[in-house]
Amino acid sequence: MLNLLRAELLKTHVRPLGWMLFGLSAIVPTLFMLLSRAVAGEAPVGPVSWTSGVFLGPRFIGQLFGGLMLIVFGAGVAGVEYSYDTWKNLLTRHSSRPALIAAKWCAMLLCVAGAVAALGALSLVAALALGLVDPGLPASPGALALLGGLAVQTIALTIYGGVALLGAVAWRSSVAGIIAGFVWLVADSLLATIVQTPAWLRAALFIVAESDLYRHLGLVPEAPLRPAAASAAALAVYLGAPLLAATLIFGRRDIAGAG
Amino acid sequence: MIETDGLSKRYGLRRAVDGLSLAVAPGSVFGFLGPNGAGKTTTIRMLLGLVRPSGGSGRIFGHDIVRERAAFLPRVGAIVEAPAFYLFMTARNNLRVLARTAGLREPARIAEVLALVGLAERADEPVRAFSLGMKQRLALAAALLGRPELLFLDEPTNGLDPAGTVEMRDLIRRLGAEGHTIFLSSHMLHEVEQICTDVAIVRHGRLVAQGTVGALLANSAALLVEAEPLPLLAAVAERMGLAAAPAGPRSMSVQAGPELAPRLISALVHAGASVFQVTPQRRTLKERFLELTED
Repeated sequence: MLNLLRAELLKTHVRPLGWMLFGLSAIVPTLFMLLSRAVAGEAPVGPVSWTSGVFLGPRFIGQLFGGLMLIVFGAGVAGVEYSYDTWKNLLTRHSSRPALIAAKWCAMLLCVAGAVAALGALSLVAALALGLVDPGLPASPGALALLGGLAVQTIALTIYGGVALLGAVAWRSSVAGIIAGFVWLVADSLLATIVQTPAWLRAALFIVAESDLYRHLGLVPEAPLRPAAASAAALAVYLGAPLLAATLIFGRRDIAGAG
Repeated sequence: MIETDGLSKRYGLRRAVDGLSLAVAPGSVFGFLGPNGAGKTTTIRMLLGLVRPSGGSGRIFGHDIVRERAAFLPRVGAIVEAPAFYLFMTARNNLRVLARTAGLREPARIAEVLALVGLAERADEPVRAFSLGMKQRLALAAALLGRPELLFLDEPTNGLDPAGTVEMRDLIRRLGAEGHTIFLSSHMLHEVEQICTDVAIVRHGRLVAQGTVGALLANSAALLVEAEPLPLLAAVAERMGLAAAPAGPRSMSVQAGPELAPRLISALVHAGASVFQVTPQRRTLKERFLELTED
C-alpha cells in the first residue's frame, strides 16, 4: 500500500494539473479578498477568520471555489488512468483493485492536507502583513482553532474530491467525474440551504453543507454542538461512502481498453 | 505454464472468446494468431485479470487467473495492445510509477531496462515527445522491469519501422533463448514463423489449430504436380483420397506430403497421364493461416 501511495504521489507531483489548481487556489481567493476589501471597505470574515487560511474565507471562496478545485483534482486523480489507458499497466502489476483506489484516495487526502496547510500559512503571512497597515482587521484565531480550521477544510475538500473520484471511476472519464462532482456540489448546496432536513436524514441522503462540518467539529460557536457520535458517523459516511462505492464499482469492472 | 479450459467471454450476445482451451509449455515462444476481432486481446486481458471471463477457467504457473492473481503477477510482464503511458511524465518516471506499483525495490533496474531497449539517452524526456516506436520499446522495458518468467506481448512490433521490427524480433528471440516463456500475439506472420516454437490460431473466438510450427506446416504439405491432362490428374488424386486444386495452366496443388509422391506419380503414369514435374511445396505460416481463417 505504501508503494502504491508513493506511485500516486509521484504522478500527482509531476502532473501540471495539481500545481495549476494550487496556484489558482492561492491567487483567486487572495485577489477576491483584497478586491472586496478595496470595494466594500471591510475585511471579509469567514466562520473562523479569514486569517486562518484562504479556504476559510468567505463562503463563496471557501466552499464553492475550493470545492470546484477539488472536484477537478479528484476527478483527475482517477480520470488520468482512463485518459491515458493506463489502468492496464497498473492492474497487470498489482492484484488488488481496492488497494489501487484506496491509494488514489489517500494520495488525494495528503495533497489536500498539504495544499490547505500551505495556503493557510500563506494567508497567515498575508494577514500579518495587512495587519501592520490596518489594525482594524479581525484578530487571528489561536493555534488550536487554526489547526482545527485547516482540518475541517481538508475533510470538506476531500469529500468533494472523493465524490469526483467516484464519478470518474463510475463513468470512466475525468470530465464525467467533474460533472458528477459539480452536480453533487450544487445539489448539496441547494438542499443544505433550502431544505431544512434533520441532520440524520441529511447524513443518510449523503448531503453535506460545510457549515455542518464546522458544527460537527464544534467550530461554529453560535451553532449547537451535535453529539460527537452523530458527527463522527456523519463524517465517516461523507468520507467513506464515495470511496466504498468507487471501490465496489471498480472491482467489478472489465478494463476493456481504448480499442 | 499457461492452461485454459473452455475460456469464454461474452459481450451481450456476442461471443468474443468461445470455449478456448490452450496449453503453453514453459520455455516456449508461443505465437497467438488470428484475424482482427478474433478474440486475441480479449484472451490476453482475461489471462491478466483485466477482463473477467464469462465461462471456463485458466491457470498461469498453476494459479487460477481470477482468484490467485497475486501469486502469478509478479512473475509476469506484459504489453497489452497499444503502449500506454502518462504523457506528461518522462520515460524514467513512468517506469518509477510502475516499479512502485509492482512493489519492486531495485532502482538500478530502471536504468538497466532503458538501456536494454535503447532508450537510456532519452530517459528523461517526456513520453509526449516519443514516437510510437519509442513508446513500443518503452512498453517492452516496462514489461521487463520485474524480471518476468512469462511475457505477454500483444502486437509488440506495431508502429515500428523495419529496422525496429528486426531489432524487436531479435530481442524477443534473445529473451526466448534466455529461457523466458513468451506469449506473442502478432499479425506479422513471417516474424512469428521465424521466432515462435509453437502457435495457436483463433477465429471468431474459437481455437482452429494449435501445435508446433513444424507440425502445423507439415499438416499442410502439398505437392505441385505438373501433368496432362488435368482432369485425369484430378480424378487420380480423388481416387487416392487427396484434395487437389488448380495451381496453373497444366498444374495442380495436391494435398499430400512428399512421402506420397512416388505413389501418386506411379498412379498417374499407370492411368496414362504425362507427368512433367512433381515439386514438394512447404506452405508458409501465412498461407496456412489464411487457409484456416478465411470464411
